Amino acid sequence: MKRISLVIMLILMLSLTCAGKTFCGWLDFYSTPVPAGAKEAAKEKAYMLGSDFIITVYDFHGPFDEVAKFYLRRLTQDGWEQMASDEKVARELAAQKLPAPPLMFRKGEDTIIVANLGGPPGGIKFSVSRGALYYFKAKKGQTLLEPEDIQFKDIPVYPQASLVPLSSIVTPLRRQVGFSTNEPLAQVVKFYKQKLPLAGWRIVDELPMTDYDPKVLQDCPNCGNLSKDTLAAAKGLSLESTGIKAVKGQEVCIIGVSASKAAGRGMGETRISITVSKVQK
Amino acid sequence: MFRAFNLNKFRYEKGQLLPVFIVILAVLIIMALVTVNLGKISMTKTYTSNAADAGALAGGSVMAGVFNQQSVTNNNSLVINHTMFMAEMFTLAAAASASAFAAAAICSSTPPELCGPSGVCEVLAGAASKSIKAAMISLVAFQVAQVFTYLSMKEGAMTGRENAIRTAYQYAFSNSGIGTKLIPGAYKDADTPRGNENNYSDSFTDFMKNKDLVTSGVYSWEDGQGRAHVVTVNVDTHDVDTYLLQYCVLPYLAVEAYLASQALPAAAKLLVDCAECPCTAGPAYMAAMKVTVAMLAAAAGTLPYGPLMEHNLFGDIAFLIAWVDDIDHDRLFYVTSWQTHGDPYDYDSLWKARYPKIGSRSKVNFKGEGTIYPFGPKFDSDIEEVK
Repeated sequence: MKRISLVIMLILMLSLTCAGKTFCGWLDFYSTPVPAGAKEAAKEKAYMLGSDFIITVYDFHGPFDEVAKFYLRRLTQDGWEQMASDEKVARELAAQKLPAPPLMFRKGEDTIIVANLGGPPGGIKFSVSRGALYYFKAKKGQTLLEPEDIQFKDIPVYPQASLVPLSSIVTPLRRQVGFSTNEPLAQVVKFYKQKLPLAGWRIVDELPMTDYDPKVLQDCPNCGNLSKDTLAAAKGLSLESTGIKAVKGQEVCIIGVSASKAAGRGMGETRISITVSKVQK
Repeated sequence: MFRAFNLNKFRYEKGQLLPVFIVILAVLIIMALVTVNLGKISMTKTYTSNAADAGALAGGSVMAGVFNQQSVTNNNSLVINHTMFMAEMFTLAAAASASAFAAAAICSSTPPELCGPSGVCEVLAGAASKSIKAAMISLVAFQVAQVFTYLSMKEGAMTGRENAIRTAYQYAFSNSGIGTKLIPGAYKDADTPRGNENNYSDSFTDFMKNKDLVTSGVYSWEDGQGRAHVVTVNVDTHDVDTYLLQYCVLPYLAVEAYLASQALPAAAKLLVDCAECPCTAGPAYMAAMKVTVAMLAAAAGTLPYGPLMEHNLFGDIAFLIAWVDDIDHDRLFYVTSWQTHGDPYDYDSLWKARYPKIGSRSKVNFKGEGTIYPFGPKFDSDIEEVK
């Protein structure tokens, strides 16, 4: 009876400890395999690639090839998929002057990056970084958000949307980028409502879909000066727009989407603007 | 006189003072029955004054803070979005215009080797087209960002007003002297409970924590002698749901019409011309002119036009909001406080001490030197009138 109680107590304690994901991080982390003979040298939490990663550095007596072989075999067995080294990731890791390109594995959004940190002959250091990485596999014609400004990279880009040049503005307080796509507005909105939370953004507000009634041009104080052509064009636009506001930490992201339902005017495009600004305290 | 009195003294009748005595006695009895404690009246008056002043000052201060925040947000919105957006629109207009005219010039006077796909002419015409599309993206970003800012300002003001009202109630009640009149502890803990539940300080503490205080301002209790006590606080300040907005010259639809239906087709025509170069100069320059005029008209359409009272919420989205010019509010905060202790009209229990209904009113002006636009976060509260 005592043993049963002890087991129940143990299970309860474990469940309570794991109630918060933070506390369970270590449990989760230890499910990452480590090659025999590797000794943990350091462990830290770091923000990279737009996400929080736990990085563990190991000392290993042997070449990195052995480590690489171990992870390729073991993680593939466990259902992890090896990612062809992503350009974005490669660029970021290249900035760290690593001796060789890292190995990347993913299972859903869970990501493991194994990197050779180099070292003296006969012994090396390697790191195992684990965290969630949100990004989209580049499809043909897709323009990923170009992270010259690294902080844009945790914002999803509508698949196959094209970057509109000249619409990228970066200041210390505000960053803006624009895309266009031929997909319907509602589909773009649905995509952002689904994907923004996955990238860690919390949607806090949403504008209702607004159809712009041409009647507004009758009430507008200055619209009397508009030419007949412009008035006719405005009436034929059949314009609709909406917006999503999301927050993450101190940043506010506003997605504006606008489209004209008028066909045959070269207007079939849905325009997407992404503006990220920092909240001033 | 003494002689006259002496001579007539036997003609006076006894008991003449009796009516006077009866009148004096009646007055004394009435005074005794209608017990009025002037000291307590004056103390109650002090309490109601304190309550009204404290409540109005506290509420006014919170409102001043709310308006200061509105001013700061409005300024951020103005600087970050509007100034940048306008600069961007005019820059893009200049870029589109320069590219379009350069394309027209090359198209009309160029050797054929510079024409055709990926030729200089086509690249320039394409650049004009890209500038127009960039302006359209900026327009979407500006429109949506301004509406969100406006909505969040409005929500912030409404929440702030509610907080101000709640704070005013709390300050008014805590300065109304109720605490000194109640029995410490909880009704249920008392060995021999006196009066009703509200006669105990714990009930008052619960009352003060109640979030519904924002809509209700009456605390009443019955003391151990069965007397009813009522403290009423009334807080009032105008709603903050009507804004005076500075709109841009043209509504969204009209700016979009310039860009999408005039500038873009003109740039597309230039592209076609470039493919056929050397092209006829007239139509090519006309197309470049059309791009320039439409882009400049669109950019000019985003300039601020003038303050207008807001329409209904989603009617406003049709217009481009430049900034918030003002909030329709008189910047005044009123608190009135009354107290009655014992029913002044309860003649069935004349032996009980009774007081008249005593009240005070305070008006606080929280304007200070603050303005929503231009940016002036100097709203401050000050008592303007006390009754």
